Amino acid sequence: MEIDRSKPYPLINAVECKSCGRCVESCPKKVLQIGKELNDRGYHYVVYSGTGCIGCNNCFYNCPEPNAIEVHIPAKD
Amino acid sequence: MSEKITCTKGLYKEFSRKGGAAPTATHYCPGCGHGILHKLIGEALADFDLQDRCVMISPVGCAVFAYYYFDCGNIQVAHGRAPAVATGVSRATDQVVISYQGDGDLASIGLNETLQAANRGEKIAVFFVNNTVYGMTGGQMAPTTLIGEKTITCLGGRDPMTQGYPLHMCELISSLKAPVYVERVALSDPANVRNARKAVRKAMEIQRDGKGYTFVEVLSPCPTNLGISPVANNEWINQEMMKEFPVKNFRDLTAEAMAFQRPQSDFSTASLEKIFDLETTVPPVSGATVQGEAQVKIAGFGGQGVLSLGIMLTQAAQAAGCQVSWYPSYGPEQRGGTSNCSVIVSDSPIGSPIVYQPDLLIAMNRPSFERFKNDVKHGGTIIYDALMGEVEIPEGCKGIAVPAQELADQAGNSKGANTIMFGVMMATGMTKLPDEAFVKALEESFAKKPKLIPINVELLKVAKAWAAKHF
Repeated sequence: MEIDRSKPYPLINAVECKSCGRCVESCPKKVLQIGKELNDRGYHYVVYSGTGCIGCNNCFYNCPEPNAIEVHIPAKD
Repeated sequence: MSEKITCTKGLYKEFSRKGGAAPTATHYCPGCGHGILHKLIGEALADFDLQDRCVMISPVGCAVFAYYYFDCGNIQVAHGRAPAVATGVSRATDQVVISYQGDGDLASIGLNETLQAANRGEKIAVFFVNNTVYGMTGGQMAPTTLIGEKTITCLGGRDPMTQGYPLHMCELISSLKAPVYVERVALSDPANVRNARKAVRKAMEIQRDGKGYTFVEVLSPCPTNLGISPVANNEWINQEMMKEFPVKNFRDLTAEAMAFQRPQSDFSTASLEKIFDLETTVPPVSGATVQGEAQVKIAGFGGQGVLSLGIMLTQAAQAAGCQVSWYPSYGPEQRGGTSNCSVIVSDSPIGSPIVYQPDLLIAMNRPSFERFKNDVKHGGTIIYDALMGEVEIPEGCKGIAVPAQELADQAGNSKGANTIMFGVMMATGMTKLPDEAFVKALEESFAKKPKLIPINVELLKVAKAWAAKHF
C-alpha cells in the first residue's frame, strides 16, 4: 500500500525486524501489525497499514533494534 | 518537503566490530530491553554532545558487547568490576563515565564495588539493567529474582527460606549519603519507556555538569530466559516486578549538588617519579663486562629444567654486572607440551623481555626445536639434545648436538644434564659472559646444597672440554 508522505509515517527496515511485537503493542492507533512475509533473517517482520500514523514515536522508542524502525514527521508549515 | 526523522543516534550505523551475517542488527534476542536502553543512552550522548568525552564501561553479561554499538570510548572489564574501573577513569581523566551493568554483575559479584563507588559519590552514571535473571549464562537465579519466580537454578520458584529475598538496589543506594540521583524506571510500555528516557537524560545531564553519582535501575524484559513472549514479559514487569520493585524517583539532589572540584591529575613522568620515589635517571651499569646484547630462548618439556636453566643464566648475567630479564611462557603447554623462557643479557636497560628472534636457542626436545628453529637470527646458534637424532638446521644457523645425558653419566652425575647444557652455552660465547660468571651462577643456584657446587663446576669443565673438541 502506498504511504502518504504528507502525514507522519513509520519507515520499517524489514530485514532488521525480529518480530518481537513491541511496536505493535505500543502503537496507540494500531496501524502496525506483524506481517505474513518472512524477511531474509527468517522473521515475520512488522508492516505499516499505510495510513493513520500520528508520529507519536512510540514504535521507535519501544523497538529494541537500533536500525529497524524510524519515524518521519513532516514539518508544519 | 522538510521533515523530522526520529531515528537512532549515538550508536554506530553499522556494527563492524560485531561483523557476521547481520552487521546492522544487535546480538540481542527479540524483545530484549538492552537495545531499547542502548538507544536511549545513545540519544542522550548525541543530544548533549557527550560522545567524544564519554567512556562507557561494559560489564560481563549480555551487554559485554556494548562496544559493538556505542559510538564513544569503551573499556570492557571483569565481572562486577565496572564501578571500580569507572572510578579510575573518572578520577584520572575527568571524562563522562558510564557504568552499564546487569543484575548478576552489579548486585551479586559486583555488589561491593557498586556500594563503595556509590558511597564515595564517584562522578559516574550507573545504568542497572534488572531483568531478574542471569541472561548470558542461560537463566540462573539472580539477586533480584522474585519470590516464587522459577529459574533453572530454582526450579520450584525462589524460596526465601533457602534463597533469601530479592535485593532492592535503589533502596540500598538511596540509603547512602553521596548519590545525587537515584531512580527506578521500566521498559515495559510506552509510558514507562518515556519515563526511562527522561531518567537517562537526567543522569547524563548530571554527568555533563560533573555533579556526581547517578544510579538508574531499569526493569527490563528478558523473554528468552523467562520463557514468555516479549509482550507477556511487559505485562509481567508491570504486574509482578513492579510490586517488588516500585518504579519511582528515590532521590534527586540535582539542584543542590555542586560540580565536582577535583585537582587536575598530573601524569607527567616527573610527577610519577616523585610520587613513587623513583630514581629519575637509569643508573649506569657498573661493572658490566659485556658489550651489546644477547637474546636467548630456552625451550623443552615441562619438568626438563627449562625455566631453571634460564634462571641460572640470569644469575650468571648478574654476576657479570649486566642487565638481564627472564620471561617464562608455559600457557596451555602445561598439559604435556613445551615450556620455554626468554632471557635477555644486555649492557644497557632492557625495554621488553620478549624474545622474538633469539641469538641462541637451547632446544631440549624436538617439538621445541621445530617450533623455534626458524625464529633464530641469521648467524645464530641452536644447541639441542643429541637424543633428538637427525634434525634440519635452518640455513645460516649453527647447530650443536649435545649428548648432555651421556656426558653427565660419564662424569658420574646422571642428574647433571642441564649443567652440561649450561656449560655448552658458556662455551659458545654467545652470551658474551665470562666463565667466572657461569661458575658464580652455579654457586648461587646450589647455595642451599653446597655439596653439589664442586660437582657441577666439574660438569661445566666437562662441557667446555667437549665443546673444544666438537666446535
